[in-house]
Amino acid sequence: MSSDRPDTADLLTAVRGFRDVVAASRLPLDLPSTAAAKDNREALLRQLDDYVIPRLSSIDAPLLAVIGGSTGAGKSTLVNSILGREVSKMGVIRPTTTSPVLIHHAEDAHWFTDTRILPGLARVTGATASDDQPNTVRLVSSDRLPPGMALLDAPDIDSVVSANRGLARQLLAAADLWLFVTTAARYADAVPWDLLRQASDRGTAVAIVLDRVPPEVMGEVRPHLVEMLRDQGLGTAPVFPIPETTLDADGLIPDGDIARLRSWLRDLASDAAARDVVVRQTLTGALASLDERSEELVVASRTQQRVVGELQQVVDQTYRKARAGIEHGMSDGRLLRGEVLARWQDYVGTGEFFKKVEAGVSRLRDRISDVFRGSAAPVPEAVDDALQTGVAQLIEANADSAAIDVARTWRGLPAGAEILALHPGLARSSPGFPAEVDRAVRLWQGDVLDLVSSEGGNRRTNARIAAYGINGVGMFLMLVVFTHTAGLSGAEVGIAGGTAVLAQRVLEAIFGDQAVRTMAAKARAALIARSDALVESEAKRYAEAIGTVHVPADQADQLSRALDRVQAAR
Amino acid sequence: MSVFKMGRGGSAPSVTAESLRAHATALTDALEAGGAQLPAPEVERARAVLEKVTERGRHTGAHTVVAFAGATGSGKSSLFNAVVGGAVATTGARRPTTATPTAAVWGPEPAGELLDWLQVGSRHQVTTERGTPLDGLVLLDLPDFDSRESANRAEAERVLSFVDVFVWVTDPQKYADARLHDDYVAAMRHYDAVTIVVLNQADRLTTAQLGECSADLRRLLLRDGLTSADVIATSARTGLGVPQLRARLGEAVAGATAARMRLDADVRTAADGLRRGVADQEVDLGNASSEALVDALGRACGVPAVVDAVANDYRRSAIAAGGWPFTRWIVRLKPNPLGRLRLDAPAPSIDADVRRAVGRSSLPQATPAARAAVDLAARRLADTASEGLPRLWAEAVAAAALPPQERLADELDQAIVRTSLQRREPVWWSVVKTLQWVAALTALVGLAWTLTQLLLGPGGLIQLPSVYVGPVSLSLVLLIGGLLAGWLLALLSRWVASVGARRRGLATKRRLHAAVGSVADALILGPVTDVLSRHRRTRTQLDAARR
Repeated sequence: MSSDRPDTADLLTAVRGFRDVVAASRLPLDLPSTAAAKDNREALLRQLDDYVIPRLSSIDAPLLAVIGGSTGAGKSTLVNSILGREVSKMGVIRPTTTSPVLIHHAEDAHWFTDTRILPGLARVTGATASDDQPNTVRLVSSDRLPPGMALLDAPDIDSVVSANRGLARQLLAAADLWLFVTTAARYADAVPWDLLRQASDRGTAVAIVLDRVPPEVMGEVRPHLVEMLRDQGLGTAPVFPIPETTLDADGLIPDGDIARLRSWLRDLASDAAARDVVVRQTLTGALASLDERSEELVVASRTQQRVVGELQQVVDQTYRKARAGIEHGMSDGRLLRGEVLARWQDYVGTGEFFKKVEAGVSRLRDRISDVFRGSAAPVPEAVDDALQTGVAQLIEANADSAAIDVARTWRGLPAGAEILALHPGLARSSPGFPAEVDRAVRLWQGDVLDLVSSEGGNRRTNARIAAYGINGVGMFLMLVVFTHTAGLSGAEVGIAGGTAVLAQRVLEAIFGDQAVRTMAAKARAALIARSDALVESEAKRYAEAIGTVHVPADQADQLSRALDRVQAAR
Repeated sequence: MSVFKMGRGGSAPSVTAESLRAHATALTDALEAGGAQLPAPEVERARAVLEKVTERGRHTGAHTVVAFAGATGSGKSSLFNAVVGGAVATTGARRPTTATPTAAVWGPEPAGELLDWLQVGSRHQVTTERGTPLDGLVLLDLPDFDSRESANRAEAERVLSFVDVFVWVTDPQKYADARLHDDYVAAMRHYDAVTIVVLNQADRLTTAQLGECSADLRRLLLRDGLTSADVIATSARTGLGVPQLRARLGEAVAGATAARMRLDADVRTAADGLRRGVADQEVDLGNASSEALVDALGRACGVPAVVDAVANDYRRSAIAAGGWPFTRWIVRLKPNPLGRLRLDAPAPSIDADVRRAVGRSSLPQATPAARAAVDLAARRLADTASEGLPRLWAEAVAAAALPPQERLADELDQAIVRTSLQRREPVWWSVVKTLQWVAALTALVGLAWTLTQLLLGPGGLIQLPSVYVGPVSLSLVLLIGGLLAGWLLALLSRWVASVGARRRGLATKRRLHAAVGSVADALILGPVTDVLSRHRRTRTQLDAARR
């Protein structure tokens, strides 16, 4: 039979490829908007494993009719009555059936004992176990069933036991034919109709058993159900009404009431062509449904990608702001005010007295050179410390604020809250950050000294540097770095001006004014590069955390491509 | 607590009008205190409940509204008719049968207005003799909640939100449905005091099966969270259990407290819902702003600079006072550090007013590092304060902890300016000053004497007596002693000045930090504490509403 369909092999390969892509796809975030897609992905994978791939690889396997329906509809009683003996437990306690029973003809056993279909369920054979085992399917062989067809008694679709509901849906998705059991009391329930709508959408072959109908209302209920089925696009589905009767001594439905159903099943099983039609109808429907279902997955992938992208954007923006804050703090000259300035003024002692004689820079220079050469204070440590503290504080505070800001914004985003719960450390700067900053600032001071000694190329300059000490000159350069671009305003000259102008004049006297400008620019660039690297490494922690919930960029495209291959092979 | 006399133990005290009112007031207060920090959907629900409490209070009278709710095909309408004793509600095999609710009213009191409020159109007055136990009962037959007619479900839910007593009607086929248990019974478990569960169509089972089935249903109800799950087995067809159900309904009517119990349960459910948006406790920040915050603020507004200036000023003045009178004028040439900051008010008594009029000090503006540090300290405070709080509250705390930069800067500046920096001149200054003058005079006298002796000599016009102290002339002793004493005094006062300057600096720092602390209290800690106390009030009121 399969020989006249040479495309099956290609199709199977394409479907297997599609399955692998779906299995590899990730929706790592628990977003409300993609919760349904996540569940459907599971269902899709299961249907591919349980049904589509096995059916494609062995198109001649027996037809599997799954008996599904509401709790209390009498599924087990129906199965037992068809087989003429109790293979599935019956009773008034709902839900009665919790682990499925698969009934097949002895000749067909080999189709079901291996994991060809329903690979996730373990096989159990033999007598009815006293208690149900989860995740198993019990295999029962029966002569009352013709070869070529198997029945699967599924758990209910709507009881309080949620495991049953999930399993029933999985089993129905693995069926070639749904034998849907409902009752006179239930036939308008919402839950079964949701499933029937799905069956209709996917073109699944369906037969309806209308069970437990009080004989007096048969004439009213049956036409109503048929009408509802027609409205749902299931007008071709056969309906088998079974009246509410007293069961016989074994608890089975009298033969007369189920004769029609039984003979329909027997005919279907023995007619290979009819069986093939049913199998192909459901298979084609399942393959066609892949379109919509993979589209949902694609949309969900994109949504998650976008959400993750938003998180990254928050990080980028916040840390960009932090970097800008640091840079601004360094270049607007005000870093020199407050602490640094106070120390410097104490140190150099600029005051009214000296302002009066400021015109004669030489005298100041003398005084300063005394200071720097004098063994008492070779390095203006107070200024140095204040400067170091100021710069370190500027970087730390900006980075810390950025971390707190990111955490706060993230908490408002569904995905962000989830990541923060996993990585609580992200709400702060990393613990070693202050030490890193201190180290970086010290290294930068080293950079500045290197700059001074490399600039002091010729002997004359070197001699002048020696007059102030290399540390002293470096100190001047650092001071100039924080004021050079500022262009001090009139009001500020009074306070900061004395300082910076003084330092700058000393430097200009040593190196020449163009060189001072270049050196200051270089020193500043070096400091900004170091602080940027620090901030960058802080921001990277978020990227790493995001990475754990990252959706591969090409996931959506891969899904689409794999699906295209399947559709091309159909 | 139940409206039904269960016959086991005494029934707990029922809900009085006062306790319902108290709970409703507590809920209202909680909503007010919580404001925008409570989750909006829950707030909406709570407001609806409060409105219902007011509305229902108006209609209460002697009526008790009981509703039959359940799945399609469980026989609600048939049971309704059996209880009423006539074919009032439509019954049928075609599912779903009932699409709109039907009411049956017992007793002479008119229930029209109440039913208008419930928007139940089809009504039936049950004719009974006066004084039956069911007088005052309004029985409703609701549409199903599980058929594919979603309109039925919506209508059933609408009416369910108003009724006083729920009767869940189920049957042997459907008693374990997820829709009944998960969506309704479990979701409304708070109303167990006003809940009756009926297993209808009991005639379909044998006695043994019925026992099994009822026991299983009871198990499921306990699982749903009903504490006093009692199941009445009925059959509309055979009349089994109907008298029992009638008697149970009579108990509900007799107490006339079912309405209040239902409303009280509503209030408690709403409070429960809101309570999830409130943490179990708040961080106690204490009264004083954290040291880190005050320190950061102080740094930002230049406290170290002021402290240094004060210390320098002290040192300068002390040196000026105790310095050698001959070289003292040099100090005056140095800048007055306080003057540079415009903080050198003339006298402590009037300085505050004067400076307030003068306005902002000319303290150097905060450095970017200092401002970032203030920001950070405030954020840290917010972080600590909002620990464990739900997001909306945490955001409110964060917003409260970050006042507008401009205003903060201004207030801080004012606080610094208002703080008096001048102190009375220490006594030792004038003592040293006098001693210096004495020493200087002594030296001068000694100088004059010596000069006279040298210049005018032994043969001069004026003969000054030569007094000898030992081998040295007294005039020389005066001159050298005066100079030496002045120099030593200057040295000593310099040392004392530096110690004093340090102490003065520390005292100033303390005072300034106190001023900065009060600004921090008012602008940062205060608002944060306000949010936290609002949170506490919301929490306690919600707990009161749930009690």
